[in-house]
Amino acid sequence: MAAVFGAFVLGFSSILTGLNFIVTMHRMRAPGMTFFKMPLFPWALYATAWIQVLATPIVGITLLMIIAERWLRIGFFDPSLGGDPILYQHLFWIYSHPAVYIMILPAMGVITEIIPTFSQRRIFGYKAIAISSLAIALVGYFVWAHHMYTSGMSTTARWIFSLLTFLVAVPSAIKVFNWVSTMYKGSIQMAPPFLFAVGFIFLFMIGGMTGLSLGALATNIHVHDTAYVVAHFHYIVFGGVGFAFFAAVYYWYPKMFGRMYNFKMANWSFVFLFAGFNLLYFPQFVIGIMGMPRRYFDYLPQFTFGHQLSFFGALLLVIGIVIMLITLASKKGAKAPDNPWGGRTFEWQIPSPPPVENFEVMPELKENEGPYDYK
Amino acid sequence: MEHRDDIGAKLGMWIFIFTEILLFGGLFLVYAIMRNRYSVEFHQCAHHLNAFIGTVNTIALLVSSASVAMSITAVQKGDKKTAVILLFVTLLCAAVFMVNKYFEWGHKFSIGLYPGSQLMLTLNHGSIMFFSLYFFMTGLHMFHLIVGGIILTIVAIKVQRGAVNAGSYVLLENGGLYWHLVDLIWIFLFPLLYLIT
Amino acid sequence: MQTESVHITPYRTYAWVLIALMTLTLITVTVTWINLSALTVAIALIIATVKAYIVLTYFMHLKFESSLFRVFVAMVLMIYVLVILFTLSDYLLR
Repeated sequence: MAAVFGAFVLGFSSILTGLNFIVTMHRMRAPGMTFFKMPLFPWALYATAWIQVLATPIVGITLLMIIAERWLRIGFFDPSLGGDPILYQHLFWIYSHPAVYIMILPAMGVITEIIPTFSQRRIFGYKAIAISSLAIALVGYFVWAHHMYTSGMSTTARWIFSLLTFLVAVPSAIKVFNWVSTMYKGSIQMAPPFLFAVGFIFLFMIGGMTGLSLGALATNIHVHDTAYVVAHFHYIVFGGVGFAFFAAVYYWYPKMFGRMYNFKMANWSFVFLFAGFNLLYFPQFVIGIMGMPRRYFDYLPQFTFGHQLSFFGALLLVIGIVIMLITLASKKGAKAPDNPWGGRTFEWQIPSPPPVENFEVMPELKENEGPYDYK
Repeated sequence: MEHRDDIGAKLGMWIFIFTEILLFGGLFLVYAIMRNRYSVEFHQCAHHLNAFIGTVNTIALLVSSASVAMSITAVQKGDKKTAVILLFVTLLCAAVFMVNKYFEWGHKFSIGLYPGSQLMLTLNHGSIMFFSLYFFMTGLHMFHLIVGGIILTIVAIKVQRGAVNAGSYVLLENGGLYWHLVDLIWIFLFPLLYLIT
Repeated sequence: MQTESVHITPYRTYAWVLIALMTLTLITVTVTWINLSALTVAIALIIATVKAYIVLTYFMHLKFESSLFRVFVAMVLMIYVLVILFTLSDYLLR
């Protein structure tokens, strides 16, 4: 019960962060920066913030109900008291599905910053990306029950949620198209952050496509609770969020610490991470379809090869992470210039690392300037 | 000059209110589903609630809400005395509400009707759900009422001391917003629990 | 940053609003004495919604705030109604 209450209090941090971001973006933008001149990373955070504000209270009240059930025997979810466990699943997923968008949206925002900077090209379809962030947040709020196809839900509810799940793929795909189109005819600089960003697009696409096959009712019943789901989830949350996080660290590291890092080492960390990741999780798609259930440490003999591949992949992955940590931990790199990548957003116009108060004078966006105007 | 942003403060308060609405929204969702499942039992159990006390409490909360709203007008006009009196009226109404609730709950407890009690567990499933929802929803609402009361007490002291004045009263506005939220939730709780007989 | 013009609502408005809310409360209580079976809940909810609308507009000053606030409130309520509808699509159609 203490743990449940702890989770409830943790919800406040999520809510207050979201609240802070929304109010800040509405009230404290730099002069001249309209909403549609805002860089796309804050746009993604804006959408995320709304999910945090609107989804977290639902899990909050659910946790309170669990506390009441254990403490006061107010059993809203306890069948022996007339409650309904499926209702708990609904309430849980009403929060917990949007929660995965809380993770992926900022990751998409990071990629949207990195791709144009390293292609030295204006982002393709600025407004489409901005609006698609909001669309993902909105539609993503209404797809929760695709986790519950096998729970005994009504057939109508199942096809409605399946349809909505397909809909949420549309804005995600729009983003992918725009990233790829941004690179077209750009002068691409193959630095580590860009490598990770491209890795993200590849892995996110596999994760997204398999997400569609999971969102389809018939296939879902077949692969429900198998390693296929595990593989899909990791392609999105590790291949997507994880790689975007690594990309972000490599991108903003010079700004944060005022030092460059060893590019060769960073590239090697990417090679190991990317190869290891695919070797670890791709076989799980295959054995998942073959019928390997998730959440078991043991398996039938026909799944042995897949598990062995996964094991070697995991080793490579760990090596990649260790190389990355060593690269980032050594502070022996050259002193970082203010703007090592030629970025156009405000943070690259101040010294690295940023001084206290960040800006000497209030930065201003001129009349016909945008966040991605590269030469 | 210190940076001050009253609109921003109000925006933040509103967003917080959204989270509160959704917090209770989750409960109303549970209510809807349980009522759909046990509509006959809900019907019968609602007879055990005292609609008269419920009505008195509704009126007390409406009056308190109006007086908070009026106190903002008073502060805007620089009329400190009226503002404090109006806030006092609000707190008085809140006290009336709490006393009523004390007797209402006290009566139920005295006949052994409370969550987890022997009597409660002998009832049928629908009745357990109704009284569980009743205690949980009104309990959570009461908690918000107490918090709101504390906030308004602090605001009233600040009005008295002049820290909240005609030039800067966003604290009073936000406290008022919170209080109206408490009223808003009761507006839905009252008919759904007391008036479905 | 107190540049926006301040709107002072007169006491009289609040008094009228209070009277309206009281009247609605009395109506909703009296209606329960008449047995309308299935309609009872619907009527109670409609009256509660009207009351909530009045509280939001006048007591919570939505009428006098910038339209941003109104858009947000409408959006949040819409999302909440959709959540209820989608959940009921499971429970009512099993």
